[in-house]
Amino acid sequence: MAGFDESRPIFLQLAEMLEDGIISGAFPEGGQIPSITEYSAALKINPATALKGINLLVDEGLVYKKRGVGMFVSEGAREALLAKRRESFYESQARPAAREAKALGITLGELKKMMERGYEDVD
Amino acid sequence: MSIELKNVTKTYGGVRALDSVSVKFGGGLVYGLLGANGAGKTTMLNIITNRIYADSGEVLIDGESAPGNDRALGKVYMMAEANLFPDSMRVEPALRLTAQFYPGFDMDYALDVARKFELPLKKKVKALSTGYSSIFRLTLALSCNTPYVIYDEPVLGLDAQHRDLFYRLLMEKCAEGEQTAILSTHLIQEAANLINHAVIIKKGRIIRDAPVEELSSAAHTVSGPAALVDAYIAGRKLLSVNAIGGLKTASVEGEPDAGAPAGLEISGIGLQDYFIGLMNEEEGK
Amino acid sequence: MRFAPIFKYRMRDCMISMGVVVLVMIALTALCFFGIVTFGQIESSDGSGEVIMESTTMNFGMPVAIFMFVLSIVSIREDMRLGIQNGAGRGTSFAANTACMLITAVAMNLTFFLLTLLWNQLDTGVYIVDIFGALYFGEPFLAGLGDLAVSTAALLSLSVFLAALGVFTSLMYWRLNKAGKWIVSLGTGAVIILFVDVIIRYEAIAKALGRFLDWLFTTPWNMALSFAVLAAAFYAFARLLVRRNAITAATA
Repeated sequence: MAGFDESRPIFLQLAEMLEDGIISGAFPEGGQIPSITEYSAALKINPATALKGINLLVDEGLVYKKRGVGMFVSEGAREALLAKRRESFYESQARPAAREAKALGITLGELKKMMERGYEDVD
Repeated sequence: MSIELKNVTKTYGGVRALDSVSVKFGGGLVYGLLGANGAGKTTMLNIITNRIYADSGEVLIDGESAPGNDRALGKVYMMAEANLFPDSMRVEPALRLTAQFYPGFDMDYALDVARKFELPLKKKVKALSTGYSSIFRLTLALSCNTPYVIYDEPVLGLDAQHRDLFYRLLMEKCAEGEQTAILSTHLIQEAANLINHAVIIKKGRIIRDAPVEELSSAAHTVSGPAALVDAYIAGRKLLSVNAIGGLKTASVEGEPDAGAPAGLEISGIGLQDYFIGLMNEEEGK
Repeated sequence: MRFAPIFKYRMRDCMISMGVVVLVMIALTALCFFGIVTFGQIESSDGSGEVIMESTTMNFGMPVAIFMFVLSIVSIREDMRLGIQNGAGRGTSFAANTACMLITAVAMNLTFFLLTLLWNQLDTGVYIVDIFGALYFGEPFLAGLGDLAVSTAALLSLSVFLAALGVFTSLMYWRLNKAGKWIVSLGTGAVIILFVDVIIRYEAIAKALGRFLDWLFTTPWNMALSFAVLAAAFYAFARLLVRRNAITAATA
């Protein structure tokens, strides 16, 4: 399993992993996600940490609990996550890229060109 | 419902192995008892389990005084480094004997764990290598289902694959939520994600006793150009500082400063770095 | 609840060891009967003045006593360790071990009592030596049921005393540090020498000792009583030794 970044809380990283799984379709809407115990054992993290991470998604309505059965991905979770990520794209991706470009002396024109190229390369 | 130590002191030939230690373990949490070798971890655990007596102070298990009390002592299983089984005893009979003491002992589970680790059941306990001796003892600890389980340096001599397996099994067990576990180790990096609560011990004194999250947010790391870092850390409690060329990285106690200048990168601190910083800080006193 | 597992483990171990010793003693007696080994020859007269040689076999008393001493030495620390590993307090482990020692001593003495009785019925010409017989009844062999029973009672008392001594010795040396071990070892020797010296010097003490020995050898019951008192005393000392001792692993 992927290692965790020590400088950020584990539960946040677990929540991101789960979100990534929902976005990629690894956890389809209506499908069951692994239990706290499974996450805890597989990732070797404290069960309370796993619970806290998953609860972040429960609180956002992305995941719901069925008593005695387990946890499932809500309908519309993927679309909601995509919207959320689009919203944060400027802060999390665009601004840091611009800052780095400035530090390296890349002009706005050059940056735009690079973005275009990158957009073409990734299908 | 807890294991509680009150002002426990133990002296060995004039050296204070434990100096008026008061601490509580309970609530189905996973505790990390962290400290360097010789800090007093094993002494403390040996006192809890009545292998040795404290010079003064009290040990209570669920409110009952522990020394010499079968009912209280029976609630705690300790996987200790020392082998206390008879010389001639073999692995499987040792498992079966242990089961007689603990009504909650799960023999099928124990045999399953032994099989997963490829623990030789017919071998004499005494003849096991360091690694397999650890496996034998952690198999017992995982299977006994007592309210409190103590793991003293559980991965001693284990290879990476077996450590991984142990941590998985431990987390599975802890996820059941019925057991309070104490993980005593000097391998802080490996324990960091497993535990809820850290008890940090140094030279017989408990210097931190807090939830891991609290410890992680009790400090942060700042890095950037030396001049900026120096300005930032001025007047703050320093845990550690590292300089490579003009770049400086420092760990400081407290919450990050919201108004930190651009050019400084502020990030969280891992338990291990916090621990190392803490050891250095205390050293400086 | 924590007494039973220790007791069961130790009892099983004791019974196996005892079985081995009993079998060895039976084998030795049989070898003696077939003349393969001989422990001694005695002369006796059949009344017509003709001397016949008869052979004797080893007595059962010494093996029983030594066995109990060794058994207690090797078992007490094991039981204390096993107990504390499994949440049993020192009192519980000690009690379990003591119960096993007492039961084994009784079982073993009873076994040899019955074996001797049986052997005597066979009239083999090979006699089983009895130390208490030699000391109290003027003959080294006991055939009578009553005498044999009294002798067995005295031997039981002696074997329990040796078990107590074994437990005490093992626990004491466990508690002592290296210097302490030397001091106690040399000190015990010194006390014995001093004691002999005192007896030689002071007539009154020698006389008192003589009176005690006279009393002791009047009847086997006096011997039995004396050993029983010593056994109780040493078990009491031993119990005190495990009051607050450190239970450490065996270092091989």
